[in-house]
Amino acid sequence: MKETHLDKMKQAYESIPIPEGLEFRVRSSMEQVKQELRKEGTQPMKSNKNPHRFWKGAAVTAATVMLAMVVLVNSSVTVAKAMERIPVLGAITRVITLRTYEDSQGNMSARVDVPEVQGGGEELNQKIQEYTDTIISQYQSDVKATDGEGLMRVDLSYQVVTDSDSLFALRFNKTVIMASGAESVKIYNVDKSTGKIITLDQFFKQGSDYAAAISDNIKEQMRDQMKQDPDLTYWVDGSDVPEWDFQSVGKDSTFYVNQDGNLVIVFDEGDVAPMFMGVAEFTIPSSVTADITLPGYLQ
Amino acid sequence: MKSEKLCQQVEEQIIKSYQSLYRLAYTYVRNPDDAMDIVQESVCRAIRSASGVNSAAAIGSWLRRIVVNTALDMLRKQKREVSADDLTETGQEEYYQDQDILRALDVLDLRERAVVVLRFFEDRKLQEIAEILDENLSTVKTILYRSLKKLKTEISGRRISS
Repeated sequence: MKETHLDKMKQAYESIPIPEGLEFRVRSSMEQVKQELRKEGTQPMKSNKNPHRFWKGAAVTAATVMLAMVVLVNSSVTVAKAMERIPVLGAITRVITLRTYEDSQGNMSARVDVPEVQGGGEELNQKIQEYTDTIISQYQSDVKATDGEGLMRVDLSYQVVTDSDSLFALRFNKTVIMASGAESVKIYNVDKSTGKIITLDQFFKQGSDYAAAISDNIKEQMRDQMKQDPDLTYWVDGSDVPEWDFQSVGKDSTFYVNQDGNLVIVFDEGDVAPMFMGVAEFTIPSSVTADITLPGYLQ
Repeated sequence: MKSEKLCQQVEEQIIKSYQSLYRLAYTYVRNPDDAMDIVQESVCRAIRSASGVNSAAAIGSWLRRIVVNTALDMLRKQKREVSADDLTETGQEEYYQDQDILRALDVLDLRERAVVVLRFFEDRKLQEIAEILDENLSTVKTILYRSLKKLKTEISGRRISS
């Protein structure tokens, strides 16, 4: 068999047209299954995890107060995610789902959980309202604009990512799937002693160049990751489109503090890497922040 | 959170390779609707059982294996329905004009077709193909050899007749 026949066949194979709706179907079914798994209380991956971990600590007293209430002790992102609508925080704060906006028509659907942080302060709850209202009204105007004939799926869920003595942080994961999908993250960090939302710069001593220190470390991590796995791509020094390259974090960067007391910087899908890389998160080692951080927030 | 990371990698792989998964499915059913259904079903299966994958490196083969099995499930189901309805034609199969040359694959059985597609069109290594099809390596080699011979006869025969 001549190579050329195989080549021709290969060309024919590669020109099998990809239907327009395929990406949408792939992305929305991924999202749907993930939601189902979350509802069932199973994370996609945690089959071998010991369920007792969830119930460690003060859960016993809490459980009597509220149906299926769980205290996040020694928790992790996974645990927080699994707990979605029933997180209970430290002594002061409790998060409840105030309402859930749900809509579905044809290929357009939305599900937006609107939480309220009880004892979380007025500023935070007002921001949450504004943020969720914007997402809902954006969806509604998209439905209107396309007479409900468009392809769209909007999901907003929330989770508590930090609840330490000094800090509380509520994270929103937003997924908008249109012809393609985009995932973005919004995190509100609240200083527990003042009840005020704080921005990244407020973690650091005045005049310190926190942005450079953190950005340099992130770039280093990007390079390391790409070196270890050629399948990964970040836009960092000298990529194909230099103006997309990651430059620096700033006061409005998305962040939270993980359970080890380390700063985690979060980038939306498509922000610092191609869309297929998804939401990117970088944990900044305490050695980078130790000298410039204000006491009380980071380890 | 190693397992969660793996799940994320499964998602990334799906996004990166859904087009190739679609084409693979297409060679089994040869119509866009069924191929899309297979991909969608495979994606659901993959996310649900992401813990079944051994390592990040194996995700590519594992996804294709799911697609192959889902495609075979669908063909089996269709066959049952068709024989129940006592139809002579087996569903609407078609290649687009450009893909006419792919009709040569018809001389191969499903397993042979999969080996040829994975080896030559998807550039998979023989070892990976063995994993995807759950065969041992020497069987895959035998199938490949036999398939090429069949294709050769088919294509030279077609040229004479046309």
